Amino acid sequence: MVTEEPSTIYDYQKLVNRVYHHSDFEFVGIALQAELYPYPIKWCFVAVNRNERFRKITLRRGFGIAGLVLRTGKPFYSNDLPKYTLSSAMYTPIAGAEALTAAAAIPLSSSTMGVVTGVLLAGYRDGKRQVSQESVKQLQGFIH
Amino acid sequence: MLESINWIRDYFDQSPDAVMIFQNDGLVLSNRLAQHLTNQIGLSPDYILQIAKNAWQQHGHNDCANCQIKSRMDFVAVPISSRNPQGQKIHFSLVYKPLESKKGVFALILENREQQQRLTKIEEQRQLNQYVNRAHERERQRISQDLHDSIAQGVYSAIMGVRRLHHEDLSTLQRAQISQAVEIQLQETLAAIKGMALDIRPSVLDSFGLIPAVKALAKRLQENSGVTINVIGNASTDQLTTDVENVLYRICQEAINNALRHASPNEINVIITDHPRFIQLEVLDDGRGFDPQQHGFNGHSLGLMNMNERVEALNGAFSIHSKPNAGTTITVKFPYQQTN
Repeated sequence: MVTEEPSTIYDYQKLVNRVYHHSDFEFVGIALQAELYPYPIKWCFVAVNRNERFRKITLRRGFGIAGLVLRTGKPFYSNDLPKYTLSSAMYTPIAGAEALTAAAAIPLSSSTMGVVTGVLLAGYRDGKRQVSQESVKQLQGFIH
Repeated sequence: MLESINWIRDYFDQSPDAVMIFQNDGLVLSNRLAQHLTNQIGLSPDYILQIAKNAWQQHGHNDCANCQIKSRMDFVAVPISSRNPQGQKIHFSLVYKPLESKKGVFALILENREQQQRLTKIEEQRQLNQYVNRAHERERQRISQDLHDSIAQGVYSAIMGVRRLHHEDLSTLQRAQISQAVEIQLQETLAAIKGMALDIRPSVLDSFGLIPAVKALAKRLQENSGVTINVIGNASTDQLTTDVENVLYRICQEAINNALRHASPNEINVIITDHPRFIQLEVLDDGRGFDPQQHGFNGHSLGLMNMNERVEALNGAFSIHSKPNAGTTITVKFPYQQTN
């Protein structure tokens, strides 16, 4: 899953917008690892956010669906997001902040190293629409 | 046969509850304790019967003033307080039991409420103990999982990176990139270790005091949840004992966690204020709130009960105000220790 990395800030925002406009997702976001110490992973680009809470979140590798994508380098999705509370390993802060009920996430990797440096996440709020392997493929289609 | 009747009579006489058996409103039989109450305290059977009848009427059944106290009185336990000859208060609850309705025979039983209360208290204590033990166990489980998921994994990834540096034929640029990746990995692991240490026991609390520790906690929980957590306060905490500081910190931790877990708030405010004789901690959230009156033995109320017990054990005061859709405020006050 090594993908061509968009090179500028402008490209990431364009990617987020493109995913939003060409799909029925109700929220789209990209989290990236900062290049400077202490290398926090933050939500840097979002579309259709409901509030500014995403800015306060620091992602933890291995926790929540975005965190699992960062740790494993593999896509993840879940349709039970409201079920997970703060102490759960699957608790996904962005889902709490943006009231997402279902979301899928895929890794963004640096092309040379294959190191996962970011995650593209998209999801639904309505509690009806679900994500699946298809959603993952759809997302991958945007970055290939 | 005769022997077993004797046993029953002995049991009746020695029962811890005072039992009086009436037929058509006249006392037929009473046990030793009932006689003792009549003789020593002046609780006469007629008086007790009157109380029972009044209680029955107060429960909204005036249509039946004349009849025997109805069988539904089963559900009515009337509290009675009196004083013994030494002047100490004693508490009973009065319970009605029909024995043979056709002949108008029924029993009035005075149950010693102190014993009931003591038993309830013991039961509560037992449940609370169980809750605390379970919470400890869950905490250990979480720490163990964190150690495995974030720290072991992080170290493992770093080892893999170092191995690549050793064995692969790499360009200078690639080498630089891998070593940077390994460094980031180790930095993250270090941050995770520090975070866990903070969870277990904040060293900031020991070295810099309560408020910096609460601020560090708030920052961390804000990063994990995206919920704004403000800490406001410049109270002097020098006079507080370590025990009080610990309890204040733990209550803060639990209150914020509870709010994040159950209330889905937008903002949480922690306010620590100084008063001439006491220090006050308030944790306010704007989440969905709950009705504090509705507490049975569920996890939520046991958590609150545990907070309350911890505060009271150190002479503090604990209160909680909450309404559905109006947020929750937890207030804790501790007196400053009197110097001189």
